[in-house]
Amino acid sequence: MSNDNNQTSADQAQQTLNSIQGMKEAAHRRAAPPHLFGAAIAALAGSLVTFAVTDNRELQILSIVMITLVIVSQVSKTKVNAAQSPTRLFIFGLVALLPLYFIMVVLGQSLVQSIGKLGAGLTAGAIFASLVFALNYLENKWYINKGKKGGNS
Amino acid sequence: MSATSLNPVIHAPNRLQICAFLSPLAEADFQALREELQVSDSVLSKHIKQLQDAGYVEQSKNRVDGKRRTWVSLTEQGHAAFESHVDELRRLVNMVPAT
Repeated sequence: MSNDNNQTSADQAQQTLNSIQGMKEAAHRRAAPPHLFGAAIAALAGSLVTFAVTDNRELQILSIVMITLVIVSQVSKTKVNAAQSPTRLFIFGLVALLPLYFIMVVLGQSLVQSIGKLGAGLTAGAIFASLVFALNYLENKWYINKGKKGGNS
Repeated sequence: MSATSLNPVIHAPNRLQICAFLSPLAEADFQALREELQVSDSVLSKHIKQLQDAGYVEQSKNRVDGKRRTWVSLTEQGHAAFESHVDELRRLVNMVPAT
């Protein structure tokens, strides 16, 4: 009889733990940046490089405004703030993306002679956009895996 | 289920789900919680109030796009209580040897 009661308690506890895990996964899914958001930010970041290479200041400012608007709209849509972002990715983003932006602009400018202003701008922009999208993809994966592992942060 | 060491404030299904949803986050919007729990505003408010009275969650309000939004987060005390509740559930599961 006591064994039956213990079994029932354990079954109920397991069900409760499963429902906790489900809610944690839901929280991580909400915190994960969607691929569409990553694609939009990547395209805008790429256009920023393209316009820098083609020396179009007005469109560069428009790209920066658009990036800000997309980020604000994303935060408003997810309705959650993550407790912790993937630290190594965040540091990579901060330390590597800004210098990479300038490297891509310089690379683009060095290509102007051989493939023309527009071609050089588009090439450098496409490379930078790919890097930004890859970073977003990894961040998304990090959140989803964290949710599956039942991570607490 | 043996309720001796289980926290009665957290153990109610809706309150447990609120704590579980908030545990990996810094904060969540009231609407996000309502969508995930699929309960009415009044039911959610009632449970949040009970958790708040126990010192497990706190609320803050701000305006986004002219709309008033309520953000809910677990306090340190809430995190500790939730973790100890989960540990107790794990202990219950491990109490029965696998057959």
